[in-house]
Amino acid sequence: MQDREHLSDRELVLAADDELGSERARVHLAVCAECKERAANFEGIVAQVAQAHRNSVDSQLPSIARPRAVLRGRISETIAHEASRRAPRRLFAGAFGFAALTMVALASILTMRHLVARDESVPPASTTVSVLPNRNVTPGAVRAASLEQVCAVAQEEVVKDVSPSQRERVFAEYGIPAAQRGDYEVDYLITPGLGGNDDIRNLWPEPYHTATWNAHVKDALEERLHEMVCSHQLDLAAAQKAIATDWIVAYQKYVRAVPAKG
Amino acid sequence: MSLFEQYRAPLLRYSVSFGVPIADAEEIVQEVFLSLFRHLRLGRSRRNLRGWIFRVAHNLTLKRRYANRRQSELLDDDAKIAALPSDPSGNPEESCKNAERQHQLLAIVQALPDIEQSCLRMRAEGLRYREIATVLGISLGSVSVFLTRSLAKLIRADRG
Repeated sequence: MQDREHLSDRELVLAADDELGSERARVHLAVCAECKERAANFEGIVAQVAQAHRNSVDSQLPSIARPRAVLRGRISETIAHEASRRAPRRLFAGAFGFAALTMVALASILTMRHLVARDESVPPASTTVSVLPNRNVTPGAVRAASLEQVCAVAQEEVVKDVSPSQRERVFAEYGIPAAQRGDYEVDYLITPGLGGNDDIRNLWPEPYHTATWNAHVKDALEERLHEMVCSHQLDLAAAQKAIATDWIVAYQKYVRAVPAKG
Repeated sequence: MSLFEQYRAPLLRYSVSFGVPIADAEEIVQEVFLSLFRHLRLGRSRRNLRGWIFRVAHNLTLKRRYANRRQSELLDDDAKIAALPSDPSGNPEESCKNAERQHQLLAIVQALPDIEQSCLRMRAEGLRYREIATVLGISLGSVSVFLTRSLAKLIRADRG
């Protein structure tokens, strides 16, 4: 017995992923041979598309061995790069930091989380610079770049390092003594991945170790905004304005209200 | 690395199906997993990693396709699909019929709007509707609408 009309195509598609909201529709589908057959047709087409993709592409795929080795190498390079970036802070701390970090980085990816945990346990050396830049000194600056150019920035360049000479200039401008500089990342206010440039007005010392709002959290915002801009979910100018005006407010708006605990 | 082994082929298929050459798709997959490494290293959410991985791959694929098209002013996707080798198994006649049917199927998929292609291809790779919605930044309802449209077109074409 059927207690309603046949299900629509959309209901059948929803049923295929167990997303059919209506109990009556579910009951109907359970007893209606015609709807079952239509549902099977839909699923059959999906299976055929999957098979066609596999048949057309899989035979051309190179072996996984080399890509896997390349990825391992690139991850190791990333870890070593991170370690060398943070080396001065560890030397100032006088705790064999750089050598230990480099060895561990090259030894195993698995130790990375442990290293990050150690970083976060170091207390801030200075509270003289806020998690937000001084807008008079760092209002933000962008280069003349189209959306296409901004989106052509490689994924790993979305969060880009600042040159050592620029770092020195920024520390001097904000009056941060040499002994405390390891506790900051000199960061782009508007990241290159959103069209920001190397102008000193776009750089400021951002603390690593503040409990909630720190350089790591801002990196996450930068990646998120880049993705949104390049998938046309957000206008480039709006993203630049949001991150330059108050990156914490932007994070809460575009990522989440409170950063996840590391 | 187990995630890399699990998702490399589906991601390559996904990128290649948008007309991205395999060498570029391989590079995209590398970038996806480097980004994943950074994502995890920063202690960010581990929930729905499959959706996260496909989202990054999707964005990079569209970016790469756009860049490639700018460079070579529109490759003929249908011709590229036609050039792909078909399943060599079975007897010659059967194999030929299967290859022709798959060729037709892929040509129809290729002619669908991007959003419908994305939904269908991710579904074909086994993603749940909710994951697809997250990847594309659209609602679950929209995913079901796009899938319904694309499947209806394929069935109509299949019936000739």
